[in-house]
Amino acid sequence: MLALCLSLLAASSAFAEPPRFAPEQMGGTLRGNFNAEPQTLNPLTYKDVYAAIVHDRVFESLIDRNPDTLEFEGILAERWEVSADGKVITFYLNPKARFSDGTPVTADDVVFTYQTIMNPQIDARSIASYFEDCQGCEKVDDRTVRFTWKKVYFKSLETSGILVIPKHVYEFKDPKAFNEINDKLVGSGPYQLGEWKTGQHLMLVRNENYWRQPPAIDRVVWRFILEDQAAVQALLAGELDDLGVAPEWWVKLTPRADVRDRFQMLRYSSPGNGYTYIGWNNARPLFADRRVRLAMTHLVWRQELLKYLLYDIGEVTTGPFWSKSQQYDLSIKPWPFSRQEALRLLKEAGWQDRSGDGWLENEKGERFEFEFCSAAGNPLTRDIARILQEEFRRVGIDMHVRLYEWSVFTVKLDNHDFDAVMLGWSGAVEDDPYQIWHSSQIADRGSNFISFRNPEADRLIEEARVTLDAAKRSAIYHRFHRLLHEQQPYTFLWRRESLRLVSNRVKGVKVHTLGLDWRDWWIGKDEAKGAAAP
Amino acid sequence: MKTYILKRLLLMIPTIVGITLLTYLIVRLAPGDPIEAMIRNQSGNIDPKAMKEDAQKIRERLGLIDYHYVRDRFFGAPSEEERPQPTGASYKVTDALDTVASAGIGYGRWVGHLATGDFGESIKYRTSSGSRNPLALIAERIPVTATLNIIAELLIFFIAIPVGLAAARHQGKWFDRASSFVMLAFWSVPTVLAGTVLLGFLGKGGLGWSGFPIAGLHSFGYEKFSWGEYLADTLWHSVLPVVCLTYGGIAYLAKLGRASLLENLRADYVRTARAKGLPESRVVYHHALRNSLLPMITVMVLTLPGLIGGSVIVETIFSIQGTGLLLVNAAQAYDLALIMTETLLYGVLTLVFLLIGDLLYAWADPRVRYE
Repeated sequence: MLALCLSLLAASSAFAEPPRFAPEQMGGTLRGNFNAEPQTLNPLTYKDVYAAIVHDRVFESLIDRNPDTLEFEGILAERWEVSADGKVITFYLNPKARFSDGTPVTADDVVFTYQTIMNPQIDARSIASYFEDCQGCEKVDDRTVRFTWKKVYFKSLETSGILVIPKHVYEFKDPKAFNEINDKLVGSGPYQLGEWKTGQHLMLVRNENYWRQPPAIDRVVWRFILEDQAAVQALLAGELDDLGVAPEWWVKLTPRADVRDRFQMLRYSSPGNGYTYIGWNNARPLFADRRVRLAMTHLVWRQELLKYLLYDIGEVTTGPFWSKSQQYDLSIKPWPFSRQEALRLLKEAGWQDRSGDGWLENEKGERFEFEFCSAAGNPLTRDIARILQEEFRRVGIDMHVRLYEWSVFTVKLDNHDFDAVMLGWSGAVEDDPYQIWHSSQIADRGSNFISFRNPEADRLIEEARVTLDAAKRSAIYHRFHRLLHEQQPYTFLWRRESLRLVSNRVKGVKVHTLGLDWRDWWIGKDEAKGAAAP
Repeated sequence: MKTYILKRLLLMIPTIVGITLLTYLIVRLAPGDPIEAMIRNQSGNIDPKAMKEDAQKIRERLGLIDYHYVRDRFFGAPSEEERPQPTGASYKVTDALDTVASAGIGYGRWVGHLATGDFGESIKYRTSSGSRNPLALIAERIPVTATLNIIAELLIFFIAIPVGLAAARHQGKWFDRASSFVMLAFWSVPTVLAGTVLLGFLGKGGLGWSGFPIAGLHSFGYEKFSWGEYLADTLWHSVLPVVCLTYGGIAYLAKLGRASLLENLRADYVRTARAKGLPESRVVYHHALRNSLLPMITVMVLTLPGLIGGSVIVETIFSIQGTGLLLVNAAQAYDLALIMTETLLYGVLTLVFLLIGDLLYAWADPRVRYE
């Protein structure tokens, strides 16, 4: 207790602002769950979301987004400058910043992190690919680093604001030795690794040397319960405090009075959830016609599908951007479900029932039929496909459903060998549509596998990439969004929401624009009996 | 006898080759590219060019060098246009042959490494100490799986045999009918269903009695427990998993025991014993039981490999870090070295148990002779 008071005193003297939490709010253990054990906690070569969740509490980046305003804020960097041409970004490190072993965070650590990411012998290709257009990262002085980019790109600032690892801890002679690090975690964040018991749990403990406002909660423990059902039962039995649940569990649990009494039920949109869509192969003659694609969208009753298949947990989307971002144009309304409008558009495009057999034909007498492909194994996909098949049959469109193993499916995408696909993209706070929509990404197994080719779209995408002014860039993206809405290369379906149950033991839980932020949470002293042990 | 054992051991070799070759081919010939799928799963939307290079690096590390690579080394590389591209829909016969050839070469390399005692490296599990040997990974997890299976096997023996005997002694009576019904039901319920139902009704936070732990084999902070507490805690955690591993075996062995005892009770020597005026209990427990236990012991030994298979399901449902879960994780990660090592181990184990079963049978019944 005395030690706690002392550390609080130290914290309050180090900062002009008052401590965020009162002494009685400090302490406690937060108990969460991972559906799988992380493969490795290596700060750069990690492979799963679980490692990223751990890193979020152990490491810090130069800058990060404010969870409410979404603006960038300095974390390790006290401030930063972007040159007039946008190619040079200079970060000034906070002189107070310390790693958990007490060593100051310096420019050498930032340069070391960058060079390790870029080292071809280090298995960090997925991070390194963001730096393809980066010329380098150099130390100006102990507290100043400079990133230089070959091209102007609005994402350069975000990308440059890397998570920093200490050079004196991770320095290596043999890259293999670095790749194999799996449980050495030393960062400047508020927590450090307590213990990792394979098959049991992973525990983080408070970093007593933390250089900023200390978090309220002493320890964070994640168990490794692999079965969804077992994890939900552990939550109900009071062994977990915080659990993300699937929609099926949400609709089962939230009406229960005992659950309502004991848990905070949180439902929110997060950018990472991305969106689901039906992609029409624009290179196939059938779907090369905008009117046909638009007609297809008019035949997909998105609101009803969302309501009956996803329990209305999500929102219909009209474009590729996150609906809470500046990129998304809220004035664009989804095309309504309308058979008449669809038939009118199809007739205009030359498709009508000419032979009287109930199917639509074109002038050459060819029937309107196509293959709808997706990955097998997901019951939701199967249900949607069946409903669409039925709906299309009513207007005379013959849709065949083909569900493939994921690995076969990706080969079909790479070869543009499909008529229509149902898939999802994950998202970010601010997306760059280049990878998915630019015509240069059609060839060589790029992500524009539906072959969307539109000179105006290309121009807007390229212009936005070099526009550093956020407001001007958003205006360009609104035009791009509207163009996609008119062209309907995809039928955009919906964005799903995140669902979490958090025990009433945990206080201060707030939903921000970006979702939940563990920095807000506090528990206070663990109750004497059993509460500390999961 | 020695010749027989030697013969059996030699026969194991082609069987093992068959098992491993089949496993290898299934993993390698699965459609798509497992290595690229793995990279895609790890890092989301990765640039295809980077992915190709990464995939090649991993292949080299794993010895999954493809047929093209080998052909190029020996016959010179064809130009880009000549080189067939591995494409899904337009898969040509030559491509398919190439794939099979690649798999064959890969399998040959794996056997070659094995001959030098090299089991390869697990790509999923890495540790700072550099220990990535699949054997070490499996060895770490054997105690857990073995403990559960030994408890299960003992329970099967001590429950199934009395039940089978009682059913045989009271043939056609209510106990026989009731136990037959229950055993048939047990035999018919798949482990996945039993595990989920037990978890949902008897596990903590469940719908029913909800007292049993639901994941893992230890409570939090078990390191600080005394010996007695540790043992009690582990046994308590093992109840549901062991029940899942046990009920199928009980059903099988009880039915077998019943049939076996009935056969013996009808035998001439039993009639003789009864005719001599021996008390019924002595006839049953001394004469008939001893003879009917023989086949059951061998069957017991043969059920062991089956239990190991059951561990794959049970360990997944109850989040227990044993060899079964390790195999599931390896398969999901296309961790070829680990899959192959574990399959090899299971294969050898099964064959060894088969041999022991046969030897035990002959030892117990002098009428059986090795030829």
